[in-house]
Amino acid sequence: MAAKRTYYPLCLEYLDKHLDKDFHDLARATLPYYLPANILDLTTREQRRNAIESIPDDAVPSHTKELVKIGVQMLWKKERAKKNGIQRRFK
Amino acid sequence: MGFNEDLSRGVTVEDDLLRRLRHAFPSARRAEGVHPEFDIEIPELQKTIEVKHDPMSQKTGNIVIEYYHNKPSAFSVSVADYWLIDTGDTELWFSRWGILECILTEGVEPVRIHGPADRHPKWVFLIPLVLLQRYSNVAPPKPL
Repeated sequence: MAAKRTYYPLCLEYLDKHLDKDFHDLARATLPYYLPANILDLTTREQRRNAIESIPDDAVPSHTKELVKIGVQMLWKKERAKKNGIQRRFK
Repeated sequence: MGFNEDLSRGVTVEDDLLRRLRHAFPSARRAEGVHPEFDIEIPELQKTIEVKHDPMSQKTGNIVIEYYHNKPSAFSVSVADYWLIDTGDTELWFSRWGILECILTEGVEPVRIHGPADRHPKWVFLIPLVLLQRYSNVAPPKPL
């Protein structure tokens, strides 16, 4: 599944190989909603940053990079808040 | 509901919002021409609004957030600062990122729907209204 991949060029490569061309645009439009959670699973900040930066500024749909970047930040903040909440409960 | 009826009701909701906005922001205006990035612009605030009329949500309990209709559409192409969702019963205000946060945090999966009046199927997120309401994180625009 392309969504299990985190680096945008690898996702596109996978789509090219495994998906009928008629569905490429749809798959590209769907990627921004799957990538953030996968990128967040990467172990280092640098890996996460590289994964976001692997999305070209002119990717289609036009706001792909922005959606993914904001999405990763949102999930990261949510996860951090959750962890801090759990830590506070056990102090 | 057919496309034309749907469109005309949507336009009525936009007109109503514009009328109210112009009390505080006389320059508020509808986007001209084919302008999928937003529906209404408030030059005084340099903010834009996407207006969505979804009366079916009263029956289904779900708000439809479209992102692909034969090409990237609606949420995929919108740059609006605010999203107003009118259920016919109530108005909910969101930031664009509030809706994204709901989709990502709640793990909402895309769904394919094909309306009777649609030539092509749409890909959408069907978000339970009660869930989406939790992410209604902005107040309507007010004068500075």
